Amino acid sequence: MAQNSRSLVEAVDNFGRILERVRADGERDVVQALDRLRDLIERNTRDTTEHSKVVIEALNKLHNVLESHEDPGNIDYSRIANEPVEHVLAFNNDEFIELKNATTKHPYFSSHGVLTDLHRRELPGSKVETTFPVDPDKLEESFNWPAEQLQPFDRPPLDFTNTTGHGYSKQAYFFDGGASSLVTVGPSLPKIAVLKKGGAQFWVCSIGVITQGTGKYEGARGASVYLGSAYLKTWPKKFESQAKLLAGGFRALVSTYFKLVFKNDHS
Amino acid sequence: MSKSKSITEALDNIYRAIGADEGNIEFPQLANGSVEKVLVFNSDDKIFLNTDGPIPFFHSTGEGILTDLQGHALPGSKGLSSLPLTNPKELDDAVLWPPVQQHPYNKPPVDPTNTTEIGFAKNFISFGDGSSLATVGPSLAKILLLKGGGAQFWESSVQAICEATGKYEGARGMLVFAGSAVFPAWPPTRPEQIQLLSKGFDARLVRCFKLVLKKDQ
Repeated sequence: MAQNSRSLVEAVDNFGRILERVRADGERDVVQALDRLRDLIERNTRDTTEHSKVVIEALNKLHNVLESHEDPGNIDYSRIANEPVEHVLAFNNDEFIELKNATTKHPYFSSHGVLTDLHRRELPGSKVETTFPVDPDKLEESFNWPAEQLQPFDRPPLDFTNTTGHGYSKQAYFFDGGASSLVTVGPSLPKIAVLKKGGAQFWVCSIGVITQGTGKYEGARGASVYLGSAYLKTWPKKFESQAKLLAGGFRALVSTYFKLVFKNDHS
Repeated sequence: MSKSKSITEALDNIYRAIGADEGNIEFPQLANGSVEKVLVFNSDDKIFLNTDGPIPFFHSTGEGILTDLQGHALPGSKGLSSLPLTNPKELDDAVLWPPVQQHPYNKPPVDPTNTTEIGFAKNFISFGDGSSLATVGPSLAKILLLKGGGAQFWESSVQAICEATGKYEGARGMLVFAGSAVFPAWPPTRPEQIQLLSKGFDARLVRCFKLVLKKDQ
């Protein structure tokens, strides 16, 4: 949260700085409206010292909201980092996934695509590649959901039935035309919900521990999680048909979250 | 918007107009298909390592609150969680990192070394409007020693929905979270580390749900 301004001048200055940033984003309508507002403030606050306190409060609220405005393409969420050296990245992957070797004993999902911010604005020069080998014998477990847990939720026991059929996957994320990258590996858990209209929602979520990084992420350590989903309009009942469908490829949207520390901050 | 009668009212109106996203945790633009819901938020938790019984467990007792990704609190919300340390190797391996992976990244092999000592956690998220989601699934801990003697502690988890109430009643879907805590000083011995963790520490967790409501299943 921004610091409270100590004077009307400081508040307006803060306001102006934020406006300039918003202007750089090209949101002209908003900027013009706020410029008119600023003109109004400048004309009307010269002699209204008795109201300056409430005006400053209102300006501060505006300042805070505008400061938290998300720049297009922003994936840095430092406001929810656990300070002082942690960095939080949040973004989406638009992926195309195919099940390779679908009819063998060693099938694997293979995907590629681009990264976007959380508002689906593409990050220029970004790329993602992943692979997730799967055990065909465990596919049926994807339809089974865990049992309701005993309360209280803040202490054992846990019943983790139907959450143990995980595999392992690796992921690579490339930023800025490949100038920087992060690679991760870790356990992945798939689940499938059959939908009323006959299709299916297919989720794979994964923990990814950083194995290597390049560019600004060289030597970084940390962990990521991702939650990917695919919507399949039809979901056949037999495995052979399911494998054929998945082998044909499908589109997935994957929400990805990194928490990491740069090389120069860890021992 | 009606014409404002004072500067303050004008500013407040603008604030309301541009601040509409404050507290928003719904990201429909990230949903795949017509029936999926996507929730993304942060939770500020207080976590303790309980060592009273035979199996120690981390837990957050609901003292924290959920926030949007900008840190704005969601009134009335809370998170509860429990992570038993049934696998002693989990903490031992927390300081070990996986090896560099082979190219290409979209084909096997996958080398999962140092990511296999997992535990299991359950979570309960209450959104403050009578709706809640409970989940269970595997979790993985990693600890990084920092310059100056401190440590960054990460706990990441992938979980499936096991119970839901309110507007989410009967929902199916998944949760991922990446939680972190920072310790300005990280003691060298395990008993000292246990003692430090037992005192409780602040943690921040970014959480993402993708789910389908009951009416669409």
